[in-house]
Amino acid sequence: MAIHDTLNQVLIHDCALPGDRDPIGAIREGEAVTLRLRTRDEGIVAAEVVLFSDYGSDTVKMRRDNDAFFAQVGPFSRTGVYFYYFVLHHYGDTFYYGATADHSRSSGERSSTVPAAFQITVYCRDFQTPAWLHKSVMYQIFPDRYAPENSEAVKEGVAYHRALGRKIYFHTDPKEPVEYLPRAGEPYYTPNDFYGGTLDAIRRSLPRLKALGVDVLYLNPIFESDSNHRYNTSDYHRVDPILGSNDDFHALCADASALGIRILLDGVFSHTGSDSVYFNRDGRYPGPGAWQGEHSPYYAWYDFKKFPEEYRCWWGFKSLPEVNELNPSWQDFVITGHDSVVRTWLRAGASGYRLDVADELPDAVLEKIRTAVKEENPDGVVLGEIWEDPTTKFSYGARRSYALGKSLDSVMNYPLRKVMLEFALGSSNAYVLCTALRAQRLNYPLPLYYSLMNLLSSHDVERVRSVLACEIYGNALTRQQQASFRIRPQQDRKGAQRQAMLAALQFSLPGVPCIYYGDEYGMPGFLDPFNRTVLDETASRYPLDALYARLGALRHAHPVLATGAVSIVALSADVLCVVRANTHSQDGLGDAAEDACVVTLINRADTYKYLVVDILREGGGFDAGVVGALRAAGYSRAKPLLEGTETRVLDGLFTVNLPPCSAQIYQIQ
Amino acid sequence: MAKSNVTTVKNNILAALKHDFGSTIENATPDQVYKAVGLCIRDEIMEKWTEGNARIEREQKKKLYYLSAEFLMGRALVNNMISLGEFDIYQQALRELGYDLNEIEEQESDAGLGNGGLGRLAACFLDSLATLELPAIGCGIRYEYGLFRQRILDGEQVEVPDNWTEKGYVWEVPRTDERYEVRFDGEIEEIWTNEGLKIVHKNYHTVYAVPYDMPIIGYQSSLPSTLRLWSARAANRLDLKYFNRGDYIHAMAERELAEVISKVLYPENNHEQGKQLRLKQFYFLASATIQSIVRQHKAQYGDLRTLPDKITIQLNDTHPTMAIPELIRILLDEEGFGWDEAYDIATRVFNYTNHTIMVEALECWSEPMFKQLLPRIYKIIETINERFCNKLWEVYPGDWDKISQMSIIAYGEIRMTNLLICVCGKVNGVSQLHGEILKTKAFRDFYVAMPDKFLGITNGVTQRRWLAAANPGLTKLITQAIGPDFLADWREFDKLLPFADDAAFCEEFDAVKRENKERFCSFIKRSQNVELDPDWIFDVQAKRLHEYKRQLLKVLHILHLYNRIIAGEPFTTRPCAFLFAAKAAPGYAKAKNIIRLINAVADLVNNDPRTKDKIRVVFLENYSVSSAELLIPAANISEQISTAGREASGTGNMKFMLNGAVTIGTMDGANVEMFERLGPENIFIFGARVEDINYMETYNTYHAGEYFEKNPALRDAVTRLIDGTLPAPAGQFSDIYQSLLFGDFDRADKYYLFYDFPSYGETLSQVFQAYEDRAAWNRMAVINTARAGYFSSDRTIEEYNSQIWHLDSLKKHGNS
Repeated sequence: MAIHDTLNQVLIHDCALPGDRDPIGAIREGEAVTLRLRTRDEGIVAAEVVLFSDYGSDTVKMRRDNDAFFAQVGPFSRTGVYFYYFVLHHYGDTFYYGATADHSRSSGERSSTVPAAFQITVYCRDFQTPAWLHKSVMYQIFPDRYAPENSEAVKEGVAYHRALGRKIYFHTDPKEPVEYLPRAGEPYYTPNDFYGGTLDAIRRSLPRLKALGVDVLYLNPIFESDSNHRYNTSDYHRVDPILGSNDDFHALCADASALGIRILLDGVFSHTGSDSVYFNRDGRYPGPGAWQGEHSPYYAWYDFKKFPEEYRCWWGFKSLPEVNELNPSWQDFVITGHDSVVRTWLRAGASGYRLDVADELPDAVLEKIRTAVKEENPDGVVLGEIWEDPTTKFSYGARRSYALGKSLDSVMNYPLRKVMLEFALGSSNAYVLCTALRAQRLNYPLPLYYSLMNLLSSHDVERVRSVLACEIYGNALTRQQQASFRIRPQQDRKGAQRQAMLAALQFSLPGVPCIYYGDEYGMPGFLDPFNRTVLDETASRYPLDALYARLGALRHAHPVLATGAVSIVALSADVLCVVRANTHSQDGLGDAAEDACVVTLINRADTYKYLVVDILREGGGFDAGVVGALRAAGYSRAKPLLEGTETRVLDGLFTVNLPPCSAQIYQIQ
Repeated sequence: MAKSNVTTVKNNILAALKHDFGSTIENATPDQVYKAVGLCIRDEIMEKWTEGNARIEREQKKKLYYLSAEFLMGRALVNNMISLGEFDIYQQALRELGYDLNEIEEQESDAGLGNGGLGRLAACFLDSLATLELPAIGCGIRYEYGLFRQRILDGEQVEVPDNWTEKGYVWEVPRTDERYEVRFDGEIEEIWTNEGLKIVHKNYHTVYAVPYDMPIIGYQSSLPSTLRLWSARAANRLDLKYFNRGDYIHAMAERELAEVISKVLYPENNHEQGKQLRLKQFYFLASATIQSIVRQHKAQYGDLRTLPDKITIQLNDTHPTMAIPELIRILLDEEGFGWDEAYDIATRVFNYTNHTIMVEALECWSEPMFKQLLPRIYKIIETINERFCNKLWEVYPGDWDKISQMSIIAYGEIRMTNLLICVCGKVNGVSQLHGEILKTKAFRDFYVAMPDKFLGITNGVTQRRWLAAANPGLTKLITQAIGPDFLADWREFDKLLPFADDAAFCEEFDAVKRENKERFCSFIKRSQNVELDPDWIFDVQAKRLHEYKRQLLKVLHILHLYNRIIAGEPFTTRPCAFLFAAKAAPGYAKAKNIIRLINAVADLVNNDPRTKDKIRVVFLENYSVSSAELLIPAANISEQISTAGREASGTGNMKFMLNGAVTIGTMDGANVEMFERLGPENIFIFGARVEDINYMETYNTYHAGEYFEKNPALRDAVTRLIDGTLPAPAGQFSDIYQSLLFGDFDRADKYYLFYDFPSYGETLSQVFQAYEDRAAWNRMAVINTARAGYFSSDRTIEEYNSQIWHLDSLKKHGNS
């Protein structure tokens, strides 16, 4: 059948389009949603919405009004994720309309069997996240590798560990390559080679970070530990002696605060080190640990299947015994107690936690952490390490509720990294990227969405430069290959172009853009431990520190880039457009803000792209009313904030000629 | 070029009279003298025309085909004399033979093969193309009846057929040996043969297309353009079977049915009637033209793959759209091309000029009718659409909104505009503002998807006809000041600018205006027996009658002036004549009633002793190219008062400006660019801007009734429509009153008359005041003429050529 013949049978419901769904996006508990399904097909005699969730399902009859069917669903009295699709009765025939099977667009398709569903996320009525966070630029530091020193203090710290009997390798020369093989005579590689990064050196670099535009530092674990990543905590109350002292931490926080920079710590609570005050498997601590038997105050923290050798541990690593987070004494010690670990470090100057393996902490425990953090500091942050869509995550047999306002303020946005890299490398296209970004806008609670930790690299994944330059992921290479891998200058140049392009996008989306230390200098490195090498300002001929500083400055100068409402549109397979706007004197979260509009465009193609930008396009993620307000604003000029030339805006349209593999940002005036 | 002299011209005329009409100068009729003169001039043109065409072929030049359903040519005689540079010689020769050129000129029928601006633009373009020596052929339909002649009887428009060919037309050359078969109706059969799929068209009806060629001479050009007009001929003009039986009706039936295609030009805004015949006309034009292009190209080059290198086709509005599927049809069905190749050629050959953004004027055909009348063309459009929509699906996956809006076929209609934008290389609007509105409003989705296609090229008018022919006095004055080059080079007009500060020149300028007013007064006395005083201000609104052009706003203001005068308020300005000239489409009842209203108001104010010496209203009958040539040079004030955003460009505005009238206008169409070139001190701008109108439409904030309530002057003027003041049957104008205050089936006062009424009134009184400072006014008038060079159609054609066509001018390489 020719396309024009099908027009009379077409069904349309676009969950991103005000009108088809009012309101679009996630809603707060107690709110209702109006759904519209458009069709000119007179043969459809009845239509229903099927609404279902973990709590059950419901069918709502729709009423016809000219060329559309309407129904209201809700109000929703329980937080959760709800799903819906449509059932249509065409005389004797029944068929469906739902989301596309691959969720490849915000509109759906007709189907003869039960289709994929559209999502409605319902979150807590009072969910709020710290306003400062929305406007921040984050910088992640892997402490041992950020600013190594060969100072006396460091040597003393090394000596401390060795005195306890720990095998520690110290790189006196920061230029030495990281270890990744078992040392002679050992069966396994253990991450216990240190370079001697210190908190004091971080403190001394605060002015540089400030100049880079950084507002919040996220430090990988800093507490005493026998490994260089310090995820196997030995003592929650003591800064690792190689890094410095607790006083050094106070000093870091104080200096940072004076510069307006906050510090987030890594909260590693799902497990401890086996070589710790609490487990004390190696007997290096004086008091009795769980290993020593039931008389240990920590014995009940752990699950021994067969004392002492068989205990529950993280992914089978004996060095990482998992704790029983429901144990009251553990909760008291770590979370709820007056001087709990969580509270102690907030008082010491931290502004919150990134919770390691948050998935493995029960929702109830996460909620307690939130309570403790907010009691200590209402502006404190709880950020979870989650790798997937946090609204629909199932783990350990249950739907997780942590994204709905009860526990987490934010999550690490690994899905964003994935779709951005795939776009840049050509394994997807701008339409796919657009749909994925728009889905976050539509499915995440707004307070969470504007707090997302938007990252391109971290200590757990490849550095963005290597992926973009070499067009390869770490798992395709052996550790040996990764160790010896050298990026050719030509590749590096391409990688830098792509990284710059993605950084512009990263800084133009709602959420907190995070720079992983060294990415600003184009440092390479695939997987652990090659992504954790010593900060090297000269790593690349194509550093991007100036660009990151500009992007940070732009975000600060144009708050609309941080908190404005967002519309995301693919202009072609190669070009993505993000429009940010404050209208009606409000930002995207409904807070007071000056009206403004900024447009970011990225072109991944190897050719110039001449095209038209339409800031009045509906269905990109703007709420009802935003487009109308932008139209009424009568904007007439697009002023380039990075590269490009000033152009006229006519009725919301302006033309751009985007250079190959580049980004442009325009302020609309 | 061997210049003629008066003696040889005289001898030639006498010889022509003898050879062609068997008469002498003493017993010849004026019509015979006209034709003899015409034939003499034609002989001169023929030589150049033949040589020019041979040269295009010899040098394998790329050619433009300008397809237009309308060519509003006007009379050719004087224009051709001027273009040959022999006006004075012929004038003298005729004088010596005892004839006045003006009288002879009026013998020529005014070929009115167009409704208004669009057709007149096509005519100006041909003149400019010839002048710039760009190889070009205009293609249209040789309507036997052009646009109706308008008579005003009892204040009402009466349409009289205009049989312009009746007396014979000296300028055309019938090419009866070259005819093309155009097929309608029937069925399509697809047959698989050894050579692949064959398309067989069965049970069709044939109509033959016969071309009539006319040289368009161009100013001092060695390369006249050609205007090729197609005439329909039946395959069997006389069925002898019936004839011999004495059944004369049946004997002629087929002929009548076929030849009706080129019988009559359809007036605009008359979409309900004769839809099928219109479709036939347009396909007839498209098919005949494309067949002749293909035949000519094959004969010369042998290979149709080179077509886009050697020709470019400009489609003037949607009417000739079917040229696109017709070319694809020929390439596929007759030349054995594959789809992709045929389609690619089409995309590189065709370009489209849009002339209107009025939604009701975006041409759509009923799908069933189209399918039945043109089954093969329908199939081709369907295939174009299928591929187009598939491409759209890639760009807008799942976005049925966009796809249904952009689809060429949808909901039982075939949308010609969408077809054009889909296929054509370039799509242009006709002013900067119109170009922008196309991008941002009318074709927004298309523009966003295909930004490279869209541009705006501002219309223009030829200074040969609209200055040299229409206003010989002013032409002479300008020539004395800056030499004659401005007639061939629009940039030369700027040289006139310093003369605006030359008081003596300005006075002479005014004297010429006065002569032109006298000329017009004697014309209107002669033709309509209306007395006009050339000392009065002539305030002119001359254009088709359409609500958006707002003749009604002007009328309401006249009623307002009437109210003021009879209320005894001082009318301080000198007397003013308000001159209207407008044809209304016969089916456009509202427009016709506005003509009725203008004449009623004329009756009222011209006969009331309190007003008749202060204001007077005149409706010039049968507005046409030749009457425009008399009216426009006589105007002091040019009324260009359309609702902002509605007039695509306007070309009347440019003609008035060129002739030194001062404009009162809205920021609409080309007025915007006139404003930019003149500066605020030399043009009077009033009223809502496009942004204001957009705002009111978007937010539905305009409520005509409030303006009516709040403005007593407006209320009193509007009330005159129904209070019995006007000499007309009761209730005659209540529909106008109704639609202003309450709307017809939509919003009240759709064209924002009430909104603009106060600022129009204020601005017009400023114009009247400005007129009283004669020196300042004359200066302003000179500046208007001096700044008009940009609005020459030569500039327009230069832009089309550099941005779309890329033709070689023969001028560039020197004349042989």
